[in-house]
Amino acid sequence: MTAARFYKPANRLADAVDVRFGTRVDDALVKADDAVRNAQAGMRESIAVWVEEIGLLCGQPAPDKARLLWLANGVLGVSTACGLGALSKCGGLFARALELMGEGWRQDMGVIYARSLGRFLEGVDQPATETAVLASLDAMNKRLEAPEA
Amino acid sequence: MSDNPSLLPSHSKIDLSRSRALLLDDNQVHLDMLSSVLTGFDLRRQTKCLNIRDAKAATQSAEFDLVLVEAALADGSGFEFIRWLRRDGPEANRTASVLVVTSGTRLDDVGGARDSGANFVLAKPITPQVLLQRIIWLGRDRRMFVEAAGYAGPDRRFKAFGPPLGTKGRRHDDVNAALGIALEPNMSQNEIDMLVRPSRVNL
Repeated sequence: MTAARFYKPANRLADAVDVRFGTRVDDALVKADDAVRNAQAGMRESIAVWVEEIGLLCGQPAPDKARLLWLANGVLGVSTACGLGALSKCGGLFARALELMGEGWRQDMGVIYARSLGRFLEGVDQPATETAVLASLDAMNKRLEAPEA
Repeated sequence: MSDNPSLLPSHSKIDLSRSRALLLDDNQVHLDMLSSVLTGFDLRRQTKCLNIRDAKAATQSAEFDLVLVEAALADGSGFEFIRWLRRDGPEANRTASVLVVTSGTRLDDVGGARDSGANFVLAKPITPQVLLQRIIWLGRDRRMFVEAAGYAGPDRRFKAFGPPLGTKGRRHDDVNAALGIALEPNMSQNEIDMLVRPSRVNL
């Protein structure tokens, strides 16, 4: 067995939490929410640019998949902060689909995702429809993960 | 706030004004969003990096209390950076608290983050509540730090069940499975009963 060294590290964050004098957790969260809200306009512009680029790339027979993954990851990470929860989930499902495709590319799926992302961004569907679309995309991913024999 | 997780009791207080954070993400918009959230927590001393090279350079010039790393980076994996930080990074930052931000929570992602030496994994999308909850969790974390041939980082065992059967254990507080001879005589039934006997209490 290899020798291992165990020691107690200095946890520098320990002095910053559960303090006697400081900012109440509720107040900190309100300030953070405000800060995110103030940045929403810029974030929305970026999301729109990303969704448009996804649409362009998905129309290609051999798109740059690393770029697509980066874009999908961006949509997943930022959309919720703009109140676009369904778009964020769709971005996450698309990122997962890209991973599941491995080295290959399924343009048919790409086109479906691009269209869905566009609709979620525009907010043209009712919440129930959005939920159904997300469930359908999830089912599509599952089929890609475990194709029927 | 509508729903505070149990780790976030509203009367709790934080003071992150003297803390310093390193943020590594190759998406400028996401990086700025995380930065805004931390600023809202009054954690204003931040170094934002878009690539691993800049992040490595930043660790040479400042001492960080919190490191937020995106798992999937254009110029390599966030896990590689954490491994470097834990093993070859500057002494002052080697044991800094590290949160990994990832797009997936598949076992591979979580296992990869854990084995690289991260303290915790955060799945996107990140909300202020979840981020603050994890920062508080990190502040309360009392885990030992491990440096071994194949791993450097916080002890990956959250619960201590002792060393595996038949081994001596490597931690100083690991108890050997073989029990010694009793040092005192067994307690009588009367003595045991006295320990659990109900007694009247004046309120």
